[in-house]
Amino acid sequence: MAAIIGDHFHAESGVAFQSTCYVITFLSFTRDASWHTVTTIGPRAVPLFTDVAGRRPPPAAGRGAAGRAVAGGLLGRGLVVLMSRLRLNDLQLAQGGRTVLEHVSGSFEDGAITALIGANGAGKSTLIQAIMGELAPIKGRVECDVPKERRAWLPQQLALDLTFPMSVEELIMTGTWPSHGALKGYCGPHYRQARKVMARLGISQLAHRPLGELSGGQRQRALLGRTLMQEAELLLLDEPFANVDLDTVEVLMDVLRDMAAQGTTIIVVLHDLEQLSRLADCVLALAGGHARWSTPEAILERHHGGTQRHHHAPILPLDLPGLSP
Amino acid sequence: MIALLNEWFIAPFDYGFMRRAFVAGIALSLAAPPLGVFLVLRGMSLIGDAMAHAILPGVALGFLLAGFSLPAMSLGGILSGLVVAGLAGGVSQMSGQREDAAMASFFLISLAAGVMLVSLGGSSVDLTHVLFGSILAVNSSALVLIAAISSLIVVCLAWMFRAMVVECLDPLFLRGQGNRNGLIHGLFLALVVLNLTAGFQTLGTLMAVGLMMLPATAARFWSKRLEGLMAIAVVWAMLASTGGLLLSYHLSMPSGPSIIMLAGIGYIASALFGRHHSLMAKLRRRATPLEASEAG
Repeated sequence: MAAIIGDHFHAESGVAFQSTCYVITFLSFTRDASWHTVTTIGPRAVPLFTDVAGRRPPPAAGRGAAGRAVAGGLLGRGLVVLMSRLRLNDLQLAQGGRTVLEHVSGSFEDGAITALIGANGAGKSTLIQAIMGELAPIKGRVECDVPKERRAWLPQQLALDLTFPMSVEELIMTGTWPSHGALKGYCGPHYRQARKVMARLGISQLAHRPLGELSGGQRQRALLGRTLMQEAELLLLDEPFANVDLDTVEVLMDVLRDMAAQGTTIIVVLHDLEQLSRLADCVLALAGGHARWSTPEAILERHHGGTQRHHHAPILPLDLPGLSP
Repeated sequence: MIALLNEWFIAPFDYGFMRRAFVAGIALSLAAPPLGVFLVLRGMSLIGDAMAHAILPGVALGFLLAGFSLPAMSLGGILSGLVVAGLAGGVSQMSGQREDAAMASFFLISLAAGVMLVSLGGSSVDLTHVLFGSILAVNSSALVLIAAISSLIVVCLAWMFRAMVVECLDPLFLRGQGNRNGLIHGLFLALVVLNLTAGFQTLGTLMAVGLMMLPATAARFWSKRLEGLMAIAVVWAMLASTGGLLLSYHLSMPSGPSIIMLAGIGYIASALFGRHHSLMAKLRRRATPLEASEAG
């Protein structure tokens, strides 16, 4: 019977070509699919925050109390701090013809975590869009020395398609896009790095779980994992701790602090005083279409008259120093 | 037994037209379902249908200018499909209107133009042929064209596979990486147009969408992994196109519709009895116990 089939079909054009192409395609499909089998090859460890070539981001600028003083003091007057890869220059931003922010100037210190605070509609997301280059300013400029592929953005309600058939590990591996693009194959060190990232975020046991079955906190961890994999040098987070349990908040804060210590510039939208006091090095407050630089201490003092720890309390934007109408 | 099998499955292929139809079906089954899987995952299931109408005026124009020549009709189809996709994309980029609205507007214009052109130039028999195709009339040059186009689609899809996945999942991430968002999307639509033009000769412009979408929608009930979806869809499309061909031979039914009907029966059966999200799966109510899932 096989002979009959062979007689019938071997002469027809296209079959050989077609099957060759199919083999190529299949290999290419499975190359991305069989990550977990490759991960186990070879014991050599790769440090978490370096890429395969061993390149590290530049070291952090002055941090701690001195760094905060510099950032708070100089930035407050709109002066340019030397170690800054992200500067705003008299920015005017609009959404659909309505000006949202005006005269926003200043610079974000390398390796510092800046909290972006303000009421809903104050323009936090608009400013983030402008920094990511998604929204062209009406006036002024965003000067960013970080290459586009090293900027990462964790949007608020994520535009992530949760029905998409993809596992957590596969999501984290897409963070290799800057170095790999669409074509280059992944190799051992990358799988091991993905493993380390997942272990760091406490989601190792979820590696092969489909994205659709994750909880809000697990999803947030996985997304931060992608930015770790991406070795982001500028990271913008829009309310990363919303709808997330306390354990996850601890892990996420820890990882963010580590990233900042490695020199990553981090801008995070916050609504919670306690998180602000624990995470932020400086504060950019938005209200009434204007922006004002401040320090976490000043904000806390304004709210409670002291810098001691407080339980979760909302930040009252109209109470912000210098922003009262 | 062997004689019966021979009579049912082998003897029909003694005829050259059946062999060519078989190979054309296999070639299309390799290229179309992966495109369909991506269309389904992107929530663009109906875009395939719109594009099928969009290629009509080009096909008709090719028919008017060069008679019943497949290369001319295919070229026309590809061009008009790309023009419609480009216009729809351009308008939605410019005006901020949703792309499906722009696409719907342009494909309707295109469809009207196509029907008008066909009726200007020929009888309604030609229109039926363009709309519903005839896989049994595939000649050798048509077969080479179909095989070449579907090979091109398969290779392109393999090349842009990872980009497609990332773009489906999180377009903002890809745009953040400095990729022009429209590029991958445009390439993908171009592949859909190519696939439909390869299919219109055998299945007709309308039926060609069926081989693209039905196996893909059916596969959603069987697998939760992208590779699984594609493999199942391709295998099911091959079975449906071969089975449909044999059905149309033995029961003397039109070939295109019997292929699509077979694929459609597969979809309905999957919706009823598939592994995930099907009616059966809803009624089954079974889950792995906690200990087992922790260990695994």
